[in-house]
Amino acid sequence: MKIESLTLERYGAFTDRVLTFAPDATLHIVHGANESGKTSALSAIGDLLFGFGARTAYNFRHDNNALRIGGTLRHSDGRQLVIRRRKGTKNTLLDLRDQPLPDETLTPWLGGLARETFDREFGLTAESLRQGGDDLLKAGGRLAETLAASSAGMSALAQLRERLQREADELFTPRRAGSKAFYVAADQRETADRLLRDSIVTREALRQADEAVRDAEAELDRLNAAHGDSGRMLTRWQRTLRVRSKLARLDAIAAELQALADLPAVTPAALTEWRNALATDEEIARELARLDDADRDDASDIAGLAVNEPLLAAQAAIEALRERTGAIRKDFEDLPRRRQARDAAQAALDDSARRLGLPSHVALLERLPADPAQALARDLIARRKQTDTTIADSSRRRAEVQRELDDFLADHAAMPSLSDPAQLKQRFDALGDVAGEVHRLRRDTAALKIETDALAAAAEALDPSPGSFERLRALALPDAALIDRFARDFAQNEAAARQLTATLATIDDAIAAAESDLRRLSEAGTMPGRTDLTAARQQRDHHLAALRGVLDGDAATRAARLSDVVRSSQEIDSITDLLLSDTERATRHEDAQQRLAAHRAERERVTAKLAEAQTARITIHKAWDEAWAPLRITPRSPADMARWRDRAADVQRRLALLDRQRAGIDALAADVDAARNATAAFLESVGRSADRALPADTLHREAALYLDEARAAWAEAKARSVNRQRIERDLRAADTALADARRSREELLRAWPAAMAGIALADTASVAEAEAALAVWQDVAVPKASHERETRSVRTMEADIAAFERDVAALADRIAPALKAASALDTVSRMWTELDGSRRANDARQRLHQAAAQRTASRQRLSARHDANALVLTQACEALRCSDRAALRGALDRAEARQMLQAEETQLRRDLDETADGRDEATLRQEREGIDLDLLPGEIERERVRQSQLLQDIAAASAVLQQKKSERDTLLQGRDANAAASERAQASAELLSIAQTWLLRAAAARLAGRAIERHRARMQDPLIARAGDLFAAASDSAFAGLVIDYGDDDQPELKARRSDGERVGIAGLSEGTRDQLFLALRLALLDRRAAEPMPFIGDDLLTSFDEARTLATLRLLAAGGSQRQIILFTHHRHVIELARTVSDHRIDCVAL
Amino acid sequence: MRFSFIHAADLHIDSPLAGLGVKDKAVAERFARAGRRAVEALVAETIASQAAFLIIAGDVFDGDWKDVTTGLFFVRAISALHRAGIPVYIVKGNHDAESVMSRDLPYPDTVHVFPSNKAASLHLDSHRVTLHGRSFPHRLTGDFVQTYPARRDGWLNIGVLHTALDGTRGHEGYAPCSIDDLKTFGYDYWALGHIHAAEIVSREPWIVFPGNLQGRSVRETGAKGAMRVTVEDGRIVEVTPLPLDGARWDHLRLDVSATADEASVLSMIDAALAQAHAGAANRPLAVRVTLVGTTPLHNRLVARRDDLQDELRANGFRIAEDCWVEQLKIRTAAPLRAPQALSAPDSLDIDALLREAADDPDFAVTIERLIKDIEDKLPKDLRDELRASDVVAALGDDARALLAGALS
Repeated sequence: MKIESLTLERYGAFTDRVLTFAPDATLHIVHGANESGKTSALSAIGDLLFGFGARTAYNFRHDNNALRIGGTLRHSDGRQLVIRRRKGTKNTLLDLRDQPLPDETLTPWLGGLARETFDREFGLTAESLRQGGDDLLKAGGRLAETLAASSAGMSALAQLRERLQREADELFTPRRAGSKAFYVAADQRETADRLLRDSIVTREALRQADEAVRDAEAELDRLNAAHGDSGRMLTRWQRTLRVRSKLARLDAIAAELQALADLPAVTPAALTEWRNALATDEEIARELARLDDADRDDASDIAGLAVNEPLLAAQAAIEALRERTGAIRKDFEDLPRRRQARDAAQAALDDSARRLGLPSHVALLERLPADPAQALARDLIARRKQTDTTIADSSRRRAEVQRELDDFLADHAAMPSLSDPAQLKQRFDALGDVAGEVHRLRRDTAALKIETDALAAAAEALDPSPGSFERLRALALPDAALIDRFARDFAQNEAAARQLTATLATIDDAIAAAESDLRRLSEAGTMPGRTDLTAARQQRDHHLAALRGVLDGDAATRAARLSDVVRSSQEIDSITDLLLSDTERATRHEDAQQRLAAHRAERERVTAKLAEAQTARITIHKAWDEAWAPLRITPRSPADMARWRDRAADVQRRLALLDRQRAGIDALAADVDAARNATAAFLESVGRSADRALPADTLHREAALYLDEARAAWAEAKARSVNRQRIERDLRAADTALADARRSREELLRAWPAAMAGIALADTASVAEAEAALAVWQDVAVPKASHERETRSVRTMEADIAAFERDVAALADRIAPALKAASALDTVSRMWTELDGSRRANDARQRLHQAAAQRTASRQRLSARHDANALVLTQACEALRCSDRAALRGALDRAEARQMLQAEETQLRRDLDETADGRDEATLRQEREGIDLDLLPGEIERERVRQSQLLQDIAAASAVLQQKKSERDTLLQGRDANAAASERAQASAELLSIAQTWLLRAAAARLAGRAIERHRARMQDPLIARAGDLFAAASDSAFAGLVIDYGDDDQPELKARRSDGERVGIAGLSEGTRDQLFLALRLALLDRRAAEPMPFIGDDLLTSFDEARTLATLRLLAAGGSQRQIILFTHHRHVIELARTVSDHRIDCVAL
Repeated sequence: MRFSFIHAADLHIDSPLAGLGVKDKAVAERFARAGRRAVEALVAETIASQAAFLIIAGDVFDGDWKDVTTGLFFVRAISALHRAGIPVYIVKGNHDAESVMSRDLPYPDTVHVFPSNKAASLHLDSHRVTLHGRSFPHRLTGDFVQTYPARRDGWLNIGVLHTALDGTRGHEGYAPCSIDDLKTFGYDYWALGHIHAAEIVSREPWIVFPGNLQGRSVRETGAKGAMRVTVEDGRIVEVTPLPLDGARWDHLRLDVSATADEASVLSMIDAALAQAHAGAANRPLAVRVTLVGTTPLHNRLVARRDDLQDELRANGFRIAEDCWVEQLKIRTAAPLRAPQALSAPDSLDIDALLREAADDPDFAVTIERLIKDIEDKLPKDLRDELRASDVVAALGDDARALLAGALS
């Protein structure tokens, strides 16, 4: 097949471009510069022959719907075909009138090729040529790989094989390597195995844990007991040590009391009373002496005191003057400062007068303007300035808005008017949720298919098979009761048959037993029976009759008959002897024979019954089959058929559901179809062409896009209108603001003269002058107030000082002229000092008189106490038999000593009782016996150390017990063996998965290798010969051809052969030569195709060739063009020029 | 009087689920804990429904499972029934018989385990129910059913039996017997165990397999649980399945003959996956997807299996975090090529070359060698599994399809 012309109607950048290929040319060279569209033209050939793919890169100028390619084709048998191709999903092949051609029209023209194969085998680019050359180098001459590399398809297979082998090797190699996924997974699985083993809690482990807990408890109990014993011993020893000194003291007290036994008994209260009376007597004597001494001292002090009575009388007046001295002193300090402040304020006022052009501060204060006048002037000044600013701003604003309006009108003068798309939106909304319906339809269809398949599987699983779905649907299933009835019949029949069979087996056993008995009885010798005897007798009678018949005959005959008789008689005798001699055996034998006969008869009867049961079974079976005959089904057992019926009924029920589901889907499909038509009509109504072959949701999306665009345009137009209204409104507002400002300014100018007069300025004063005058008037207020305040203060102070000096002089003249001084303040100070001394002396004299009176009263109370105490002391002397107070004191000391010893003894016994842990004194003394008290502290210390060690041991044992209990509890909770088992299962699955993945990849790699090898075996000889010729031509006879050598490993290896016979390996060829070899191999492969010859299309193939080999290759391609059409695309002008030098072939140069 | 009881069997507590290939530890743990959750659900359901008693017809434990804490877990779980005053009747199955760890478990008083030396009858006076049963004494037991006692007239008679029945349901033939054998006893209800697929074998009398409590592999798909049996005036009036499983398996076999491209295949699987997840009622779901049918996409599907599987797993996660696609299996077939295409003298027909190479008996030898290579390195227990896998069975065809698909 040849391409005679290619029409790029609307394709990529092309529009109505026609490439014509001369029919008589053997090589077509399409020439075009870069960016001229060579790649587009190349792709267009494939799209024309095989159709556009789902996506295309050539719709950037023309829409998908508009894309068109055309072409004229010529078959090798001479037929011509003119076709066109559009982009779409079906009916893409068109004739010249745009009518669809059948899809199979091109099939006989394409030699059974698919698009991919055509691109791969019949297309060659500069890049793929270079890649091919590199692949040859990579194959290293190995023939199989080299031949594979020379075919695009086989090359891909070879690369795939390498990839798969690489992937397989990464997963697993028989030689262990830790990094391989398989071995990693194997290790993980081993770890999981170990973890599982460790996680299992066995009965033995639990038993050991219990035992460990028991041992730990026993050890703890033992240590606790030892600790208890030690504690008790330590307590006893410590008690002994504790009471040791108390017992010794009790012994000593007993001895001392013995020495005081001569004293009379005296109560502790009497003893205390007497001791107190003795002490009181001594105390009264001491107190009386002290009172006498005080009387003498006070009399002496009173005599030494001096008091100024006149001053004391005038002390109120003196105090009043002293209170005024603070204020007078402050006046003296402040007066100079006040006078200075007054003078400074006056100077400031004079300065302000000068600034306003007035003679002095007096004139200034006379013309001082009131606050309202100043406020009025200030207000007018501010308003005049604001009005001027407003006028300037308004003028500028108006100019800007006017400019904006002019620009807007210039920009949007030619904008079209649009209509509101709201109605369009309502129409679009009326289409409904088309995408949702389409999605639902697809989903429901898929679900329907799944359920249909499941039902088919369920129906197919029905055994016996009811046939097709439709048949199953129509089946009237038998009543379950009927099946039950048959089940019972079958069961009864089978039970009867089983019983009969069992009976038969029993009878057979009995027969076998009887036969066995007979055999056993016969083993001891032949055991004739009565039957035998009867038969022998009958035989004898027969022989006697025969003898009787020949009595008249010859002797020999008689002798023979007699001999028969004798033998018969002997037989009878023998039987008779046996019957007589072994009666028991005979009886048994006879019995066995009878039993055998009876059993056999019974067997016949049972066999007949069994046959009847079997006949009945056949009858039931027949009825059973007939019951199912209407369903045309051969039934299984009733139990099976009961299940069958349930399942069939379930399938029927689901079939009914399926029908409803299908009806729903049909309705949905109809809705979707209607929605597609409605959407298409919508699109057409707005001037868009709608392809009704497209899915409804696609059309719906297209309509939605259109609606979005229309709404966006409408929104933009509305925004423009609003903007213009705003600008015009702004312009009007600017005009109004300017007029208002000018009006305000005129009003202010009218009020100006009156305001200036108020602040002592002329009518013509400017705004600046007015502002300066206002500033001066503002400065006057502060110095004015200061001047007035300070003048008042100075006058008041001077009056206060004069009045004080008058009052002081008058008082001093009246009561103490001697105390007058130079200043009034000093005079007051002297009078105050004198007054203070007189007041202190007077106070001391009064206190001394009061003390003397109190001492007189005390002396009287002491005398009364002394008399009462003397009476008590007298009683004590009598009781203790003492002559005087000194003897009484000694007796009292001894009695008190005895009393203290008795108290100590009592206290000791109480202490002993409290510290003896409940033991009495006798027991304590007993406990002490046998103990060396001197060694006892050492013993106690040793026991304490031992006890401390025991405590440590107990703590450790307790910890061990807790640990063992914890371990047991952990065991009881489990070690999550379930999770470990799960992990092991996961690891196993992972390992198995890797093994399976490896197997598949390794097997595929091996299979690819075998296919490549087969290819080599098949192609080797003829292909190498043809490729050799082509290679010689392409290399401009630098090489004579190709040969096959065998390497050290006996593997065939491809080499190039020079004219002188030298063989060059692939690695020894230059890059360009390898490209030529690859081209030769590729063309040789194409020559072997027997199907319709397809065009070979090359794209810039000759870039790596030198000039001579380019020319040689052009000749080679031109020569090959007689077999198949060859089209070469190039952007190299020298290729065209070289082609034009070829005269022995017709080369067609086509400009793009 | 109306009451109900629960009939369960084949708990196989702590028997691990088949390897799922889940990488997410939290999700893997949810699957791993499913068995125990199912046991807890059984107990909770029994209490919540105020059942009169619970029957467990064998195989509470797995035979070769040695972790004693599994037994303690069961005792803890079942003690809740004791506290609720609900008695439990158990026969030991073949797995229990060989289970070392389950011997001498400290069951509460209300848990009755039938003896193994002979069949026994236990009576529940409050409901006028008699239960007949016998535990497996050891793993292999022949004549067994024949030893069961006669019915007690006037009472509801329940036979508790661990049996493979007539052996047609695919499990090992323990305590073989026929349906008719069971019918001869005149019991009202046969509470069977051992077969892991739930089935109401008969309605007169009721002969029921509740199935196992938790599916453990893709061979045990769909809802798993127990049966609630309702009794009214001494007659069984209703038997209702109770789904109690803690995780669920599903196997979607999808015919892709009619699908045009890979995207349609994925859409079909997604729809089926969503449907399966909806049916699992928010349980963790492990789904195996097997594509079947004759399709031109066959080679491409084989070549892209790993990528498609990853995509499906991602889609599963979009449905729910524990909706896991366990495996994608491609069991489709390529359409036969036209005869003329096969015989065309086209030396570059790679498909034909691959086909010829694959059909070469030497290739089978190569495959066997590869299998042997990796088999030698596998742990012993996985070798048989590898041999039995359908990957090995279809290795030659899949290798060819992979190459053709990758080249297309």
